[in-house]
Amino acid sequence: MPYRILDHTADIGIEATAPDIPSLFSEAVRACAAVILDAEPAQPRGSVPVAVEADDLGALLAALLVEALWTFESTSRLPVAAELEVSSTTAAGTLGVVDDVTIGGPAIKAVTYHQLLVERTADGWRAQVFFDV
Amino acid sequence: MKTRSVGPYEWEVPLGEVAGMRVPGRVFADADMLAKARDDRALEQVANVATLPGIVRASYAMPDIHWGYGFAVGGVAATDVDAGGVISPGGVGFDICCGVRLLRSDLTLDDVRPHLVELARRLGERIPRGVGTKGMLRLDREELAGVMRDGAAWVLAHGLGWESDLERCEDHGALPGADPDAVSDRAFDRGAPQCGSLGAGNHFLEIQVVEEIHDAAAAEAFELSAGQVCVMMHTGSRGVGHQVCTDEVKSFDKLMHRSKISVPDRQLACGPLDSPEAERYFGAMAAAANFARANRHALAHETRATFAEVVGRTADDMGMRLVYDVAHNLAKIERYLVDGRERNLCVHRKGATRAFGPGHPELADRYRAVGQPVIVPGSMGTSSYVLVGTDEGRDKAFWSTCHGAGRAMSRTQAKKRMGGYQVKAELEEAGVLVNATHPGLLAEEAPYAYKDVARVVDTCEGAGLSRKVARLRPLAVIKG
Repeated sequence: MPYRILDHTADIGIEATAPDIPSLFSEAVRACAAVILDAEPAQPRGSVPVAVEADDLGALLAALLVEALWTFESTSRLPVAAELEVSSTTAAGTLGVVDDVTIGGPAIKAVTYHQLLVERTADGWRAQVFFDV
Repeated sequence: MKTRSVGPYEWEVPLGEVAGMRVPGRVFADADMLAKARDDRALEQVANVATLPGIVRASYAMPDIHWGYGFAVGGVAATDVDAGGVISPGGVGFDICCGVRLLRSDLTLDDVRPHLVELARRLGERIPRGVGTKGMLRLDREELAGVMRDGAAWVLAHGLGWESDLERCEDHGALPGADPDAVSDRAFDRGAPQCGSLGAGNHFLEIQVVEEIHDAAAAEAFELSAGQVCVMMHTGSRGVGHQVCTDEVKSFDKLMHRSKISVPDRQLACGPLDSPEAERYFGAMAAAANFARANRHALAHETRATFAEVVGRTADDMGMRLVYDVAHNLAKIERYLVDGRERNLCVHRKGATRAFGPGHPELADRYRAVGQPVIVPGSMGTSSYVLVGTDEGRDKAFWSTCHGAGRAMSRTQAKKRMGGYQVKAELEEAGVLVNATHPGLLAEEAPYAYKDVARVVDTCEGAGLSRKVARLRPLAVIKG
């Protein structure tokens, strides 16, 4: 399972796994969309450019998810994947988006740094992010 | 996590439970609430907050405590402004100045009953709500900066609401020190279309009836009496607050590396109160807080107008005056005696409500003799309460009390128990009309997902944090 939703008393979290960091970040975007939809997201039908900077991989992933949520809020196009080039402090490329989505899950207010994690595992990489809902 | 009883409904988390604790944790709870807080890791978060530089007395938790992000929800932490204290944007939260406003009226249940279905329908139409919905006011950048500076007074100056609303509002409707220049362009972009909107999630507007009076003298001062119809609204600073917190947690996370401050959870990112970052955050936080006050002020205007349209009397004739407007996510500079010395403290309340006792000079004349009204919303379909601050609350937890029932169950667990449409049917069976944009999502906010609010407010009273004044029963719920 490349992503799963994590239970939290008031909010909601995601865990993503992937063999490399660009795929990990794409899975995290997909997991975020799954929370909003409360369903498995469709394949992307378009793309929008994205570029973020941060001091470490955890903050970089948080910044990417902030951009994904802003894209949805400002354009109603929901990011469901990402194609990125990622360094230790930058991520740039495109967010794959879908249009005309039906919201089935809670409204995400923000991306938190609570227990924020991007770490190497035996099989690749794992990320954990909690959202304020 | 070890705890020991230190008084009625009062428990201490001793120093050393988390490395770097500077003060103990202090939890106001009964034994069951304490066990739940331990199970859902909220106690660990109380201990984590106790590591913040400059924290004084204790890291406090109110009876509605539950696991949050960084701070527990229901947490109170005060840091010494002049002795190395810090401010933490995570200790305020993303929904800056989320809070509750209560309108009272002279209408009785008999007056309202023939109109109730139409009131719920028209409020549903007129109150902007739900994800992505535009608010009542469309503001350009200059107007939005005015809202951020002047809060409810800006909306009043533009013809909405009553002059008397301001004195019945925490901070008289505007937190001093707001700096719109400290707010990012994106926060402006997010806020511009959202002023005068309810939002989604646990935010709501409810028509309620006063079911029981517990404190006749305070109720008289608050103009509340049994059988009277009221309207309660719960919302906050919408995208402005969310963006300010997002921007500032990132900024303080960087500052911590430079300041060599270490905390157990990155969401506790903080910085010295005398740093430029703290000054900017405080200005931006106050700007978002004032947006929230303006937001609730505008919604109260729309509520009065809807009642006037449906009932066929003016809002003035129906006596639809404000009881009070409280924040439950905010940091404020307040003055307290600590270890024999008067100090300026930065009091973070994250899911906790300020509850000044009788005689406090900041209270409006009409409330000074009895104390500050505290509005505590119940979970959807259960009672809500009006409380009042106490003398002893000052020394208990820097004049703070609970903010609601507090979640007891995750959203996933709540949805497994029953579907949203079934929750709606059961509420209506119990006599509560429900008007929701997404009925399917109601299960996440179902009454059974929350603690028993009656036990929460009783525990606050038993611990001396606040006293009960009135209990209100819901008649109709408007949800985003």
